[in-house]
Amino acid sequence: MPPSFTYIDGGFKVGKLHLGNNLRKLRFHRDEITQEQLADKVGVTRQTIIAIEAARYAPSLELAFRIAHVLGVPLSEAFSYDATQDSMFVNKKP
Amino acid sequence: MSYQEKRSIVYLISTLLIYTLYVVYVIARAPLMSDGSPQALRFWAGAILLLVPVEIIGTVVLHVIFSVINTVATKEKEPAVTDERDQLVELKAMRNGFYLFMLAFIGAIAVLVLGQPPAVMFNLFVVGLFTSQLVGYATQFYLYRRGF
Repeated sequence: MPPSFTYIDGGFKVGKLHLGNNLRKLRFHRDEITQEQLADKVGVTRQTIIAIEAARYAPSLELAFRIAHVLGVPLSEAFSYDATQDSMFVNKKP
Repeated sequence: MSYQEKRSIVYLISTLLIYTLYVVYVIARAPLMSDGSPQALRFWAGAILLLVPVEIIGTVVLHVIFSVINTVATKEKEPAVTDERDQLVELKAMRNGFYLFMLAFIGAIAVLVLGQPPAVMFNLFVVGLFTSQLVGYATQFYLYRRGF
């Protein structure tokens, strides 16, 4: 049975992270805003945006909301969570 | 390689350089390790106290040199903000360094209990300071490189 989530740009690949994101695509649709511009608007470094996009860093809830706000989308469109890959729930009864 | 990764490497190298030069300088003037006289203890305590400003000044000077060379070579500016990821990396690096320093501290006290001269304890303090900083900077580099 295929996984219940839709594959998106970043995420679902790196060990402990179960967060995915659509940042690259959303930046493109938002007047092709650069990583640097997005970083400046949400108050982080460009390296942090790169790490989030590559799913090497899970942002705080506040930063995630800020990013979604700047990109003009709800949080659930910018970020997603895949419980089927989370060891906390895999092979455990609900 | 990001600015933060390069900075971690510079701090690693500067720590290696400063401690090596300082230890060579101190050992050339040090009394015998077996000497437990008050003068010898004062020497070792002074050597550790002096290490702190020497390291701060040395690190600042090397960091400035790195910043200038990096800016000239890559036109890359030092990040203006320290964000939540930087703070988390710094905290994790400090935690790992702290664990190692605590091990060295307990080891240093243990050698006194085992009857070794106090000079051994002071030397273990220096080793603890050195390795804890190395581990801290190596942790920073690893976390910036590989993510967490």
